[in-house]
Amino acid sequence: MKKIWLLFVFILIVLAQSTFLSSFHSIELNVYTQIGTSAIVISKAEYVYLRAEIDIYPQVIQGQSQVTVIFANGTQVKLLPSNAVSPYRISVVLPIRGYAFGISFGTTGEGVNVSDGHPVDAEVLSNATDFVIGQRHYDFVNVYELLIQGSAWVSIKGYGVAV
Amino acid sequence: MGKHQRVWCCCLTEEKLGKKMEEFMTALDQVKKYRQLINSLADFALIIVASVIAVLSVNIIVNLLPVLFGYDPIQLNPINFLLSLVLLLSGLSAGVLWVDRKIASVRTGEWKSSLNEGTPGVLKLLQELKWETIFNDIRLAKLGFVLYGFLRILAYWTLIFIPLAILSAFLQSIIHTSISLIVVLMIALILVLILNRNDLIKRHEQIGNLDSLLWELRWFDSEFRRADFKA
Repeated sequence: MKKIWLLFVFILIVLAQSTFLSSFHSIELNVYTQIGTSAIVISKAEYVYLRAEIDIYPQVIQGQSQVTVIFANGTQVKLLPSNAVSPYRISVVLPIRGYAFGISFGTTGEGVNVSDGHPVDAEVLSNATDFVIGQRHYDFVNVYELLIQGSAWVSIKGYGVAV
Repeated sequence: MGKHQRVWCCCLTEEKLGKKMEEFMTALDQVKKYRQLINSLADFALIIVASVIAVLSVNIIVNLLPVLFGYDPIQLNPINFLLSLVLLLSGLSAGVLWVDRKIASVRTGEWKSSLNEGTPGVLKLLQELKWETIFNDIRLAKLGFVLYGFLRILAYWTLIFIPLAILSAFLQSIIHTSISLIVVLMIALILVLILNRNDLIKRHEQIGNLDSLLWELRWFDSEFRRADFKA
């Protein structure tokens, strides 16, 4: 009888593990940004812990890089020609900011497309001259934004877990 | 002529009776083993589910590493695959070995000394048999036989499928010819059935023969008891 109970407990553990495994999500995006301003928007549901790596390979013309990265706090970084080989990497961690038990939601906006079935998202908006960082706020969704001026290869990889 | 001899002299010779009894007791030993198999299935299930828990734990850790520490999942995937494979195969092997050990621990052939005594030994053995228990044991043994056959086929199928799938993937990368996984599964199943054909047929016949042997000996036992009572 003890064995049956132990088996029952084991099966419950397997079910819990399977449920937890289904709460992992990933994003992968490879985009070439055109000349001008492009916006990178990474968004996630509040209950997701997300780590993302953004690799930027600037286009080098005549040994010069014309690519600038603008962060939310106003910091501007001009990429070096060497970044065409060894990319400029931005590591982003978006922690859990809240919970949404039993709530079904879906949010769309400029570069944002998050729902309970798709809780992590990354998009690159081209020709985003009018895009102002930090202006958009959504219910149940956290957003990380930055701007790229100039043409570059952008690779975004993100791994998140919903709790 | 003794009262006991009167019973079998019209139906069974002493030699035939001894042979039948030996056949029956051998089959009963097999029944004991199947019964032990049924009893060991809970252990087997526990070992298999424990190995599944270990595999899922490894998967969770491998999924957490990129999220928490930024590890590259592409580098982790082969390790995850190999570790999962090793854990699953270890669990399966441990389960089979455990059940095997339990079955091997069943004491068999204890009746041989009684049978060597000739007719009195046979009669002694018959008197000691509890028919109701034997009937129940045989019912369980049949279930055990089905489960044993199923588990054996499943275990062999898994063991044959894995190298075939690896070979198929290897062929695909070398000669770019893809073999459907379903075809690989079917080939593995056919191989398993061919490899286990004789064993499964032998065991199936053993269980079938057990029924007729049981009824024959039970009839003899009732005849024997009736003669004993009249005397």
